[in-house]
Amino acid sequence: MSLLELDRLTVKRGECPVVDGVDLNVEPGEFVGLIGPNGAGKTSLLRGALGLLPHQGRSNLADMTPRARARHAAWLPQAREVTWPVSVEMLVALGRTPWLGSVGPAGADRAAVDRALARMGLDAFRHRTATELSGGEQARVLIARVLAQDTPLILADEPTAGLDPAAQIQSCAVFADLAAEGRGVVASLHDLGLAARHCTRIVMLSRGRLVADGTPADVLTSENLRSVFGLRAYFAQTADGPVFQPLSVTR
Amino acid sequence: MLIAALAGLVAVLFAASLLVGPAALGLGESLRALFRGEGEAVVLVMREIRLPRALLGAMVGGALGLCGAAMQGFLRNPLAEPGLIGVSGSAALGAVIALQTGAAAAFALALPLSALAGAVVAVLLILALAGPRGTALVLILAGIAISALAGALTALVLNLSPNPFAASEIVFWMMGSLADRSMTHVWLAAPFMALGAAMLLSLGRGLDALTLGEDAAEAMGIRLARLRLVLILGTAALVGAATAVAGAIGFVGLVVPHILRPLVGARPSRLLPAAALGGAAMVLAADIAVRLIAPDRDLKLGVLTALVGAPFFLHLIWRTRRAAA
Repeated sequence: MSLLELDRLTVKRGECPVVDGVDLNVEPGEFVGLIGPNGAGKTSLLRGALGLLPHQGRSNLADMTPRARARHAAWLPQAREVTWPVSVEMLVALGRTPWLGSVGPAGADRAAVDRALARMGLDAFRHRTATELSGGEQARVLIARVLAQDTPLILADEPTAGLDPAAQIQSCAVFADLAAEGRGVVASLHDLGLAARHCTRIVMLSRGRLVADGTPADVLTSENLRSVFGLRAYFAQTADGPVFQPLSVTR
Repeated sequence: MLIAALAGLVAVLFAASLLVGPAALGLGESLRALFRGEGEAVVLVMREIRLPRALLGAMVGGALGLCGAAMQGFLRNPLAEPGLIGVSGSAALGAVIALQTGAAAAFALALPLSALAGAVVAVLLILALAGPRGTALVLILAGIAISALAGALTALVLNLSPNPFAASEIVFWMMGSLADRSMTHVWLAAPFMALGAAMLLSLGRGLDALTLGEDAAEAMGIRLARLRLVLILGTAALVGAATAVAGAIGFVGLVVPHILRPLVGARPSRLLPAAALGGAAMVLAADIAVRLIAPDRDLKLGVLTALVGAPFFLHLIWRTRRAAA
């Protein structure tokens, strides 16, 4: 069974469809890079799929009860909000919210938090105050929160935005590893180079429509890049893996 | 640990509140009167004057502290307070109308009942204005609009007041006080406060999740629309009942959660019970202070909390600005 099943998903802002009849299935083991220019509908697609926006068409996530959905899919919003000066450990533990029994965190919850902290290399930060960390450290803490939620499917909205190059690569590597372990990951990405190197599959959106879907080599063609992004780019398979570099603007 | 310490503080202040007053009673004499009913006049003072005053102090303070913590958690803003959604202003308007029309003089419970009715009207208006999917911002704007309207109507009632005595009675009532309350007031407020407290204390997990923002909280399975409804109804029950029996007592709901937040690791769910106890302690302490500072001048409780609270508020803004710089 697919982890994510979207059937003609449409999200409207007023009369204007910002996501227009998108069909998309995501299987275990896939790291899907959702790409498209600003305003293509990447965020609206993810939020509509989760049922956070009113939508037409069908999404298997929006059909679930809130608690069942929260145990199936974790959501990493683009806005990195941390309102209160809580400890890193407590913030990551919030990911356990959908799993908590009436009495509070159990052994399994603490173990999941420990695993998430270790995976993101945050053991040393455990007792630090989350609001006092740098932007990149906060981003890692928030990814750890998503990992603690321990869901088969992870949806992330621009998880690498504002990170330094090393942190961008680390984050993508974590998502790729999670996919390799049998989870499904859908991440909207603006850095096409990262998408080309780490994603198993790329979905390209333009004006709310899904215009291309396949392996990085299938999707990042010069024709697609020109018509959707207005870009000319260098893309080659090298000894170090696929290398993608935008070169110039064509319009 | 913190909760136990705060509970101890409330117990001590509650006892002190019972033992401080214009009638100079000995310690043993007071306690014998309270618990065994020995000594007719002393029994009257203890059971009919001081006990309701201490009970109401703890209840009103607890209600305001709890609402403040819940409201700050929901709006994710340390400057939010229970009065923000317009319930206290509307409750005050209800009370003022009861005073103005003379209903309060004719029937003792007319004032608190009318204040509660004002709170209910405010809640209905907020729910209508903020709609089913309204965000925290819409709620704040609706609250400000309702507060402004209630304030304007209160001013109108004062403006049209037939004689200066009615006007001064209204003004004094609006300053907030626990003097001359009876057990009837306690029984009137208790069910609303118990219900409101149970509602707000159930929100801890959702408020914790909101630390990550509305979108993330909703995706973690929190039903935000339901959380908001419970928050509004619970706050209305608590603040409406508190205003109905004690008038407007400001700054408790703002200041108490602020002082206690660092002591609970900033966790909204742990702040709820702590702020309830802290609020009870603060109002009990303030009510003892008004009796000690000016025993014969009837210094109003709301005046004292505002005098202490406003400078604290300035300090808060100052610190926020420095942290941002």
